[in-house]
Amino acid sequence: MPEQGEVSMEEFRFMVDRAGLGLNDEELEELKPIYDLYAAYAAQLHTINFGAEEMVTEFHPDWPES
Amino acid sequence: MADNDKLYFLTMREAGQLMKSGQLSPVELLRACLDRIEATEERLHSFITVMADEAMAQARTAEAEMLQGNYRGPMHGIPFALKDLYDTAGTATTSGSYVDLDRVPTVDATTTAGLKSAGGILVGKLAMHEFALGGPDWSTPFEPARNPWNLDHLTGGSSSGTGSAVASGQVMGGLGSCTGGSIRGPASFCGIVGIKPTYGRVSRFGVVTLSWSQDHAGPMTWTVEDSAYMLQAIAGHDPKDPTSSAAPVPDYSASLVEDIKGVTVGLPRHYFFDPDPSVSPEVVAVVEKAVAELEGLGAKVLDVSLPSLDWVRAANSVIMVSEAYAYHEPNLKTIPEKFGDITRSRFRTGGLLTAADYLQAQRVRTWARREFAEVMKTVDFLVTPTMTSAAPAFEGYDPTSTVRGRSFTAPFNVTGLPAISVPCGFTEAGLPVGMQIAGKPFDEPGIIQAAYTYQQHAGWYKTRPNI
Repeated sequence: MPEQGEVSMEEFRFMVDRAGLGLNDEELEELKPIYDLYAAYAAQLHTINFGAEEMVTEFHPDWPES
Repeated sequence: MADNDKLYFLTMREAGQLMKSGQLSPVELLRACLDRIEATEERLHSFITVMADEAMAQARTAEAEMLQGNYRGPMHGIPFALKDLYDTAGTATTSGSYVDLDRVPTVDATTTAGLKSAGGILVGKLAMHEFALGGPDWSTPFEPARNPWNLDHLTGGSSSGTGSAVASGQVMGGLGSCTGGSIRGPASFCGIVGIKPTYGRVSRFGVVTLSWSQDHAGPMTWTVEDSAYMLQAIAGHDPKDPTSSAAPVPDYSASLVEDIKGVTVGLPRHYFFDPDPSVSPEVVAVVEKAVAELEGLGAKVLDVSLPSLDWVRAANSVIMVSEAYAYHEPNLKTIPEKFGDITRSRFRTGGLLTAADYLQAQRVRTWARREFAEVMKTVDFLVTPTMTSAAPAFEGYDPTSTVRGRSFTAPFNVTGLPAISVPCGFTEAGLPVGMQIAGKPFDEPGIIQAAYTYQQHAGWYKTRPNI
């Protein structure tokens, strides 16, 4: 059974197929623990409440003040 | 003058002064480095390609120029090497991977060209973790580099060969690249200096990307002054890199002054110093002592709070593998067997995260940049341990450890702020520890001066590894 928040192997297989990675069962088994690590990070990012401040996606090579 | 068999332990500044005054020939200096490589490479595995003949031809040219009184500056005649993701025209640039094993660029990276133009002698291409990610991986084509302070330990990565080559005296300096800490990490683990400049300060053109919005190119050397010299040769706007900055490049050697009286140093203790299962108390204690020395040198130290740090590691990781997947997707689908085990799985993960994940990571980045900008109005620098531990041993090493726990370097890749790692002591086991000094945007002069002041006071650079 997946831990809370983790996807099941069937769901994971669907995701991998949708991404077009074409992995066999052994490769799926190997990949899932690494995916779970990164998925936990992604889930953490979605827990933030930025409040009223607009937090746009931006990145410039120069600092805003420069 | 130093004994011939110790020439490889000269700093760039020392060697440059000797060459400028005619007491040392670039050919003699290169021979010393090539002999050093010959004597140590079997144990260190720093190099992927040694370019002895090409280097000797360059050294002879430099020698002739100097004999004619044409000394070009502190990089002239200095043997250096490049992490093997810097393009070198006519020489394979493998990124440490079977995928690019036969890739021979036709044009130099802008940074490669800059160092050559400054008179540097390119000795070869250095080992690295495949495509600048992961860890030591025996399913990739090259043996992992070993730490000159203890061959049973990692050098850190991904600029692994640059760390071992510089620390052991195989070359006097090298370039690393850094997306989450790959310059400062190996610098800390190998007891050398590494600068991750401000994002946009150094061109990324011709540097194989891992995550283009977080990749930085920068120098790794034995001393702070030598990093300043290398940075001078590679900094500046490059029309071939649209993310490079047009901000003027100062004279970094003017910052080689021993003075930090009155500067304000911020310590984000809650993330970098307070106890955490992923952080070595011994390393923190070594850096605390160094901070006290900064205070003794006249710096004012105060605690600062940066709540976004608790999310920045996640943002760095999600952005990194998402952008890496976008770059590597065609090869991941057509020749996956050519990737090493560690890299292949992490890159594939990037294809499974969602657009919402990536965008949320970028929003966190915006938050962190705003927050850091506010704090940097109150302090001149942030000072932290560079790494959460000293160099781990190969035996029992878990490659996923670089994904788990805190990262002390990633916040400055996410924010783009400049940061330097300078040696600040050793563990009981004799492994080096680095102190990280981060500054305001484009304040490379400030972090160089602070690190130089500490280096000259502490004197750790006088101790070389015994290999």
